[in-house]
Amino acid sequence: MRRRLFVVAGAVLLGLATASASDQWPQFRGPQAGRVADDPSLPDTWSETQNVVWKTDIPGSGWSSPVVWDDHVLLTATVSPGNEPQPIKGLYDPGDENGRTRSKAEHRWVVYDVDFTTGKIRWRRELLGAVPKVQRHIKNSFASETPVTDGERVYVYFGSIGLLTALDMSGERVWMKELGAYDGRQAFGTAASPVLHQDKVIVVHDNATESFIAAFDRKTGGELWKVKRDEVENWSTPFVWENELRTEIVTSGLRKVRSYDPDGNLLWELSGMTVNVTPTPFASHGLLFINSGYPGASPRPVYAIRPGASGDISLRPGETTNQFLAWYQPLLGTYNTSSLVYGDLYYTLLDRGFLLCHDARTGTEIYGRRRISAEAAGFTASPWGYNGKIFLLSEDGDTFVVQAGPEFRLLGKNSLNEMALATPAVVRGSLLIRTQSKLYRIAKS
Amino acid sequence: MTPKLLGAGWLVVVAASAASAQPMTFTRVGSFRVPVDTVELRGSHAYVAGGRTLAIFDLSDPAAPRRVGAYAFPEQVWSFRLAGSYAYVAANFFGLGILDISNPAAPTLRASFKTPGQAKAVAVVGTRVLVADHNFGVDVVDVSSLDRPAGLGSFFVDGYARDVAASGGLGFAVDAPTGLYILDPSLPGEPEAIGQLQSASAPQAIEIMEIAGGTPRTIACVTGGGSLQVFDVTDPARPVHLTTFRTPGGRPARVALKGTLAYVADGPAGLLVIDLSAPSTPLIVGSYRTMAPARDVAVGDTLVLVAIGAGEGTEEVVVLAGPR
Repeated sequence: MRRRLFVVAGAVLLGLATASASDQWPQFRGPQAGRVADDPSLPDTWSETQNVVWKTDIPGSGWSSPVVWDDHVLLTATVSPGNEPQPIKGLYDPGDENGRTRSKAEHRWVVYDVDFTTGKIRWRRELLGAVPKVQRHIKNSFASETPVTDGERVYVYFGSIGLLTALDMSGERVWMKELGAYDGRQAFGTAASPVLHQDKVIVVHDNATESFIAAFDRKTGGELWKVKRDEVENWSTPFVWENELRTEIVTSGLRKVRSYDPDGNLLWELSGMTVNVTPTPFASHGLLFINSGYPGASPRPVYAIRPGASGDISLRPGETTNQFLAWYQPLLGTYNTSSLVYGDLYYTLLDRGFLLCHDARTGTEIYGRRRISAEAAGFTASPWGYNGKIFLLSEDGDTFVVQAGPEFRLLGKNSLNEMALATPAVVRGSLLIRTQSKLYRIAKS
Repeated sequence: MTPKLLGAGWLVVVAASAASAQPMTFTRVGSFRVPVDTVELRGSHAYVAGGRTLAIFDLSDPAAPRRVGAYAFPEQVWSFRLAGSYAYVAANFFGLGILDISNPAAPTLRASFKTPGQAKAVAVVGTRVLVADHNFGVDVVDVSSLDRPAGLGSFFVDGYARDVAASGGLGFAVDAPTGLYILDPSLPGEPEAIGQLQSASAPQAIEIMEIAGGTPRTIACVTGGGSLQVFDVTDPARPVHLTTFRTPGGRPARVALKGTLAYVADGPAGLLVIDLSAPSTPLIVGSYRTMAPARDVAVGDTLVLVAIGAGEGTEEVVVLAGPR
């Protein structure tokens, strides 16, 4: 009896925690890496006009995702009067410069607070006006890092100018740190978002000059620790893995996946990633999931990692598992999208418009590559799931709705008819979708 | 294949002969300046793609090549192939363009088909065209009616689709980083590979050689990864890697075939002629060192065209006579 009560109590607590988590969306991919508690009020269908509570023009350009706390929807952009080259959809071959572009126009790095209820821009805070010192890929933006918030402050990191800033919820600057702006090896710009853990704001900046991970005091911006990294470029957001044994700061990178303790001490590392590491690590079912998958490279690995590792946990030649690697798939990695665990299944959204499904615990294939739709172009935004459905936002601004579970079934398509790369926020019955020029709040009418 | 040269380049015109016991040498007989990434040769005409333009040159007098016509696409021309009186052009985001070249002085766009990705290369298999569409794999386009080309689907390749070729009613495709695929475009339904290998090394371009004789063989010549890679694709369901041949220049870009000879544009080493009559043991039988990196080659009955250039403003001309 006692045991049963404990289980029920645990379930209730879990339910409360989930409900509470879905009240806010404080960081990139939210509190559960894209998994959202079921909520019948969440929409399944929408368009530019259907189920639109409001849509707001967002001046400037930026592929950062919105984050939400109470009535604040926070996002970033850069505004430039220059004739900046427009991004092109898909994983295209941009030619000799590999897509590198340098802007000579002055940009203004801006934070917006949009009113959740009305869609009106509550405040706009300009952090800097300057000509960018670094280059970017034509498809990247100078504002691709998603801010993170704890409800007291919003922490904004612009890698393109090396600026980490805390603003209070009225947009006033609390502190600012200059961390340096550096090109990566290919000069494609930056994208790794900051994360929070207890009293720390944690930033990773991998570049060709001075790669580092550093932690700063939330209240003052004082540097708590900084560790050099042997990397030349990555775009993956670090992940705070609070597992059954300890808390780890996991970073994904070309040369090594590395896990640090909250004081910056290296716990373990793993070799075997491919170039252009972008997907964000996440955890589910007691496992940590890491992947990278530039389509022009091999392997494109997915690793499922158990807690408690130390030292080098890389696979040796011929191995597919070891003490800490629960499973490994050599060609399942994605390029830009992060993967999703929903229910007991691990969903892989290939940037080129295919969905695959594996058992999250074992890595066993549930279904192989399924073309989402002949109309589906490239995908950069990461998938999310609720109410038994998986949502896949394409670069065309089409969200394909797929039935969750062991059989692939396309249920529908919701079009906003504008390019979209940012991963949406899902909070309190609403979807916040950022397209190239607009922010939508989608909810059932 | 990478179209690095957007400015003026050069074509080197050399005379050719069949392989012999003596090393083949070449003599320059003419040249002409033109933006060039890829080149083809048919009869007395050279077809030259550079930037967005496909230009046609009359080589009746190889010492004095004469531009007779051109067509400019709205997008980069990555490569093209000639079949019948048409040039099938891979024109980046424009997709597949089909030029009527029956009048070389006035090439006209006869048909086009917008592919979902970036058209990088084409191959013609009967009334179907395979398009290497970069991120979107290999598209199959039905061109039985040029008034209404129709997409028949696309085949997923593991990496980026780089090149396609055709022979014996089959299509052959390569992708980066490792793939060689054999397709039968005549099969109904969504295109699928009837055979594949994932052991190529950074393949960039592919051509197919048919070796006659006692036991006919079909050989795929793949350039990339600093080598000429030779595969036996006689049984399309079971392609076999025969050998990887490191070329002296280390940057073989493209290859043109004539009989059992492979003419290789070998980057800084210039033109290389490799005998593949014993395909497992390639043998260099001729060469010509160009003054700038060789990027493409075309072989005709009496002429060989070598496209050279190291980038805008750095082009040179080397003209040879031969082979001897």
